[in-house]
Amino acid sequence: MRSPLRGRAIRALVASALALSTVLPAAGAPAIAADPLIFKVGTTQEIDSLNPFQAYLYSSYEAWILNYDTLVGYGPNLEYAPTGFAEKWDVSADGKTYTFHIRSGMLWSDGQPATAKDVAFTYNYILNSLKTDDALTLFTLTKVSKVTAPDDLTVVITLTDPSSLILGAYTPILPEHIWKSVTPKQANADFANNPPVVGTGPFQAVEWQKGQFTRFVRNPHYWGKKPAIDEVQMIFFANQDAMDQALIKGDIDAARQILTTQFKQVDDDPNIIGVNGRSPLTGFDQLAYNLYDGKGKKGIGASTSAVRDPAFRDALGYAIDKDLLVKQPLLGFGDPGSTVIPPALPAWHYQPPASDLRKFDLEEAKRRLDAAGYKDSNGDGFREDHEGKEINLNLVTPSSQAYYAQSANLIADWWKQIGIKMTPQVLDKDTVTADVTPPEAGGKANFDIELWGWAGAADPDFLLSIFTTDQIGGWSDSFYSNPTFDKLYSDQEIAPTQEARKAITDQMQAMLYKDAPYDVLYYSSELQAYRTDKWHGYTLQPREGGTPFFALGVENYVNLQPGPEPTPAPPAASAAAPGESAAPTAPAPVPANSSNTPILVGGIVLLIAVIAIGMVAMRGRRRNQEQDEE
Amino acid sequence: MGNSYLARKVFQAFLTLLFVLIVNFLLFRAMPGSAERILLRNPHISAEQLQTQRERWGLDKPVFPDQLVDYLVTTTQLDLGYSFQFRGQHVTDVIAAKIGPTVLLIGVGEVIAIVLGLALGAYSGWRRGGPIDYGGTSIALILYSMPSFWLGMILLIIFSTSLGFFPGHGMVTPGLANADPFARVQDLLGHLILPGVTYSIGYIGQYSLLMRSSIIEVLAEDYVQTARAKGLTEGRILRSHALPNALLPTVTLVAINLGYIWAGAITVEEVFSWPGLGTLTVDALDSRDYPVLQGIFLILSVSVIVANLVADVIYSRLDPRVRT
Repeated sequence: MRSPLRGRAIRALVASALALSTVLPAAGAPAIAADPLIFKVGTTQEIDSLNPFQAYLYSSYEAWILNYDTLVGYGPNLEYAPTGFAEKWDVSADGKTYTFHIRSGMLWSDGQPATAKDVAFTYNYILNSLKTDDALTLFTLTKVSKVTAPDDLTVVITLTDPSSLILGAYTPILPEHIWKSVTPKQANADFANNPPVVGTGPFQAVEWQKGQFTRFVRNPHYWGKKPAIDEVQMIFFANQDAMDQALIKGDIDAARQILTTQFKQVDDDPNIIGVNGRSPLTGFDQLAYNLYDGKGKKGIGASTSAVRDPAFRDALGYAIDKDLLVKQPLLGFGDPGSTVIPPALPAWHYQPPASDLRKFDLEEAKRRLDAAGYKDSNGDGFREDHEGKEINLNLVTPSSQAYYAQSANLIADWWKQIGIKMTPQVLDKDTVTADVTPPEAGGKANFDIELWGWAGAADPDFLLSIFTTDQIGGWSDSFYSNPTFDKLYSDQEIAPTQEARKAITDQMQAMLYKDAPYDVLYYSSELQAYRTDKWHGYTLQPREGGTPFFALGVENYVNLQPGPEPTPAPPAASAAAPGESAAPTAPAPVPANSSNTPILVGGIVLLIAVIAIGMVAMRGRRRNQEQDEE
Repeated sequence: MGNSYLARKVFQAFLTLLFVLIVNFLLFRAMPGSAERILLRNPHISAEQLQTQRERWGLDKPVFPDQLVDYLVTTTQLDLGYSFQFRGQHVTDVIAAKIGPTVLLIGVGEVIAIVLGLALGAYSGWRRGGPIDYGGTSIALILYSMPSFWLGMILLIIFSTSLGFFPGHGMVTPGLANADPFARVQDLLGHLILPGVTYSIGYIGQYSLLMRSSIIEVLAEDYVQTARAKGLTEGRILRSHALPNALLPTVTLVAINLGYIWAGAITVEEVFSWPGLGTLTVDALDSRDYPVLQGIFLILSVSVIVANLVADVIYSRLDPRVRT
């Protein structure tokens, strides 16, 4: 007898097959007739705002450097370059007056002239806001007292003290005719700077679908070389796996923050190059010791005075194997840490001499602890502090990175071997932030060690400022307070030449290494990847070991050319392979990823086997049932 | 009938809702990490600026009773406040932008799951012991027990990366805003397939297993024997007697599941970067965006409570024994 369900089922199947057939061909065909050249870059970090004053995330920085120019740009090796508004600049003899010569003929993307007046407007907009309740503090203009534009092509900046930091100010120049009607209060809060954004940069944001993508269209009035790319799309992925798959499939052309576990697979793909980069923006990860002196008040500061003893911190530094930390939690993607200015900033990084470096040596650590007076008097395997209390260090670390927790566990293990008890606690980011807040900012600084990290910048000023006494209650999370260091910090801000400044910053880094308010664990890599079959001409910034995107400029967006790298025709082979060389501009879809196939085949076989076993088992049971019923 | 039954159920639903609202409000306030510190993200601001912002967001008043009463009053007026994270935007706007994609995804997923699940389950139960029963039940069990994010990634790798049939992320291809409607619908459907299938697969298993056992139970009832004895065709028995009774537990399950539409299938949305309420919830949690979180949970609570109420009413309509 025919089951009525069968008819219904068949009709449903036919209907869904019809629906599918309308969809399948669409998936491959290009849907836009005009076919602009689109470059797609994937990120798992959505931009937080198109308004630069509310842009705190890397992706947002990338967005605004596409839209806007700074006054002074950063060159291929992070040197100051005339790739911004300024073509050249001079300094007065006393070092307090900088004169910038603006390139002529610049236009905003809406056609209005872009001049020195816009530079002066932007800088004064920020400076004037600092005196009010709505200070715009995201961009710092160090030591600036006055900014004027005597004519359309000249900007004169007067400083309170001679300082070269103004050249490195990574601040977008905004159009006066748009921003003059935005109050600083609005800039800080409600003004979203919705698309279409008006800027002088090579690409302007024209559409932002929150949570999905941001589209940037080529700026027809861009002053520089005309890019071959017509449109940049920054595509947001909710998870890194999906992004890596999209890159492998060819749905996107480049991606940022490839998973360490997938880097090899991505890099092995013949059409993709993985970049294990050292970006100046990556910074470092560290153990921050709590030096806050609660002066005996209960519940404030570290659990033991030992943490405030430099000899104690120094000894603990010998019981950390940084090479192993890079190899295991970081899977090899990073470098062992030393000083607080990462080697990714070669002009500023200070490498302590080998004799000063703390090598991994558990015996040495034990010796130093003994010498500093931390002994195990009661024989339970753990040392006591100078007050006789057993040392039990509480380490807090955020759950945002898996390698933080892994590193903390490894360190706890090493320290146990030298007789120091340490208990790691993995908490969410905001709880950690709350835990390390000092009384000056309403908290209790109730922790011993914090394992976290800092993003970097092109100029070392910010990372050094964290350790000044001024920043306690601000950015400081170790509460280091050293008047000598503070003086050196002010000195380096007004050093007359880069060499003089470097001499001071080297001293500062050496001082921090010795005193060890931070033990810098490692400099993790910035993993990016790009496809080589659709575009060529990629460069890294900095050239040695840098990254192609999310650095400090727009090089690749401007310079990339469509198609794979053209292979030069072999000169001697004249009669050889005809019609070679010229690469197709419309790339064919990349075929099945070979490394996946055996796993997939294995998986499907396993699945069929399980179903077959299930069926056999059920048949057996049913036969028994039938026999029971008879 | 049960006007009193209905009234009683509605009243219970209302009380539950009120209770849920208060608990939601308190739970969020109890989370560590202060909202303004995260929002302002910039320790350079002075204490005065911090205070101005606290006042602006109403965080300076005591939680009990000021903030709570404030919350209850404005909620009943459907003013859900301003988002912390998306400054200046109404919570209702932030959420409204994401409701569409979620309802689309889950609506389509549920429809597929209901149709296929009920059909498979009914047929398996009807032809118990047949090949479709064995195959179908084993597959249903396997699918039911798979974690959806894992399944989603597998489908992504097979059908998107390797075979290239479908895109693996997002809801639309960027840049199609000006293309013709047919192309846009095609694009949307193409993006919808993988997440929709991922979402529905688990539920197909659930519905088919439940339907199957329901049908088996019903088929053993005396009235089915009687109907056969009376000479009715199998089809007639199935349609008029077996299915309606077997549907009861399934209808309840479906109604309850539909209540969760608003929760957004968080894991499926995260795998496929589908811009719905699921990803919004995760982002709002990350940035302690209390107003948005409360808005989302309000909607979720209302929909679950309403769905349960509807399930109760439908059940009472279908099953006369329940109406008193």
